[in-house]
Amino acid sequence: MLRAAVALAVIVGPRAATAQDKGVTLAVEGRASANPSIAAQGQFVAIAWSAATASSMDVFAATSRDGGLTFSAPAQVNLVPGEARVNGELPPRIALVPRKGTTPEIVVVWTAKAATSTRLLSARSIDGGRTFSASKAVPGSEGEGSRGWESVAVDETGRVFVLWLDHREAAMPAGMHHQEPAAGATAAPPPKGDPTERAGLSKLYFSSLDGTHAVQITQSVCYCCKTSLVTAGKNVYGVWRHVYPGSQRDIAFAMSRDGGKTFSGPIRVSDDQWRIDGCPENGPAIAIDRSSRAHVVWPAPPDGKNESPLALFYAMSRDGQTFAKRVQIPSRGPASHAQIVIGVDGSPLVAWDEIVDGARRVEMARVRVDASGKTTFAAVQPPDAGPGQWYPVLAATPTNTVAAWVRQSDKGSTIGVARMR
Amino acid sequence: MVAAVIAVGSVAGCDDGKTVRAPSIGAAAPAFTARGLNDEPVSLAGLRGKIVVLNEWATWCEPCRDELPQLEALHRQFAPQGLVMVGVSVDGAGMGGDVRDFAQAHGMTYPIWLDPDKQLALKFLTLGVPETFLIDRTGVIRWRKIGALPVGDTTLAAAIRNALGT
Repeated sequence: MLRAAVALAVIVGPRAATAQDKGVTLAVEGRASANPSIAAQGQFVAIAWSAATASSMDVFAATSRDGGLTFSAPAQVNLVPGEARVNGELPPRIALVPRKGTTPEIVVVWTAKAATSTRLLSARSIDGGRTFSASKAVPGSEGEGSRGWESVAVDETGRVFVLWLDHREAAMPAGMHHQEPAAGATAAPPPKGDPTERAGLSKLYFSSLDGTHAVQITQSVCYCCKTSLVTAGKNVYGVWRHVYPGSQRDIAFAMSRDGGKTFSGPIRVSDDQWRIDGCPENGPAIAIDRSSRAHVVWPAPPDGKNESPLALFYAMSRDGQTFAKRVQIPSRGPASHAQIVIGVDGSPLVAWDEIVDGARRVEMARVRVDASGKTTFAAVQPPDAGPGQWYPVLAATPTNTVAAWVRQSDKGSTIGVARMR
Repeated sequence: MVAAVIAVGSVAGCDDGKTVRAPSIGAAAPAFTARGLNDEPVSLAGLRGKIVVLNEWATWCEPCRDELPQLEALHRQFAPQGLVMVGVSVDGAGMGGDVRDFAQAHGMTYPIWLDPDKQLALKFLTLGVPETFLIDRTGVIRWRKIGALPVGDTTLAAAIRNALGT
């Protein structure tokens, strides 16, 4: 028996058949396409992904002007061949900056190989995705060690923000680790074998592409789980997997009410008490609805025990200061790589992949939270319910939601894209 | 038809026996294939009859880096007695060169397999990286560690000795 104090939710109704059309496949000939991300502005949709040969990896993007029905031919984003270093929790991220009277400016941020480390780069397209500019370093992202698991968001003024995990201090020789001491305190000694202490070297950084430096929001962040960043008005919201005392890797949230200058929190979204000294590679996702409620989804074992299969959880905050008790989203198998978007009807749509019958499959559910806080989930038929589908991503246009995901087969991998009602 | 999951408040859920769980200690290790650093096909089946430590890791994984010295030490200590230590990298497609460079830079002298599609994670239902399995000569899982080996761990060495019969 599972013994976990969770609120279980109701699944209402049979699966809704919601794929609007047959969908399209994005691929680069001769390469394995994977690790998509997606953004939409009006009916303009842009997808970025990685395409790898046997020995290198590059970032590509394709765009749609009809809400995801058709897409342009892929265009390579990075000008330095083979520099991309991305994966499913660390995909190239894409964002759209609105422009009056023309297509949005496209911004792509990705992790790239540096000499002995990795760095974050960005490039822009002002011709609808046909070509991309030379890349520039994300301000504050240069340094030794690895970094990435970034997320990007655009605010109402068109500023592009980036949130990422940074391990520059983990790359320093022992004894040179720097931790910000509190006023009057001395710097802490280098961490030893304790995993919580060691995680203190993993930092969460935030930067604006038009800035000159990065701000450290917090330390002790889980090493390799994706972050998620969204804006609404002047507010900026971020979620990530944190390392709490006892090496508990639970989800944390922070928000800025001044356009990213300062952040409150972090606050613990849910006391899952998941103790693991490793990289779950399974981060959270956040969306903000029209009422400024924050909706967060993430995977965790229901009882915090590594022996239990991963479940999917949801929690909502009305004020950005406290979250309601987590609710488990029913799944048939171990669930991973959750994503969430506010759909056309104003309700959140969740996508994830799970392992069922020995294969990875994409699943989806719509979230309804009534005035009393009661949560229900309506299962949604994914665009492709077949085996070998994973890493779904979602974006909303004014008329539909667009889903993209990785299709894996013996012949390689491609990106599936479909519009959903 | 309404498909419903019972709702509301704090309840204890039940394992209905259909829950998918990772293969446990004492269970047969699932079949698993990958590619070696020279793109040669490799498989767990090809190591049948040997004592195998299968370590899932990645170049970008900090806890993985932390446990490497212990794994290398175990490899050097027990390989002469027949242990096969295998590092299964889940770095992305096309990253074989990075993995090779990393292995050389960090003194990893045991075989490295490449698993960019994370088949090990799919078959063994691993939770992330690192994760380590000890598999005996008959293909049965005898030891498993989710997360990094603690500094000074002796349990894996003990399990290896037990499997080797020494």
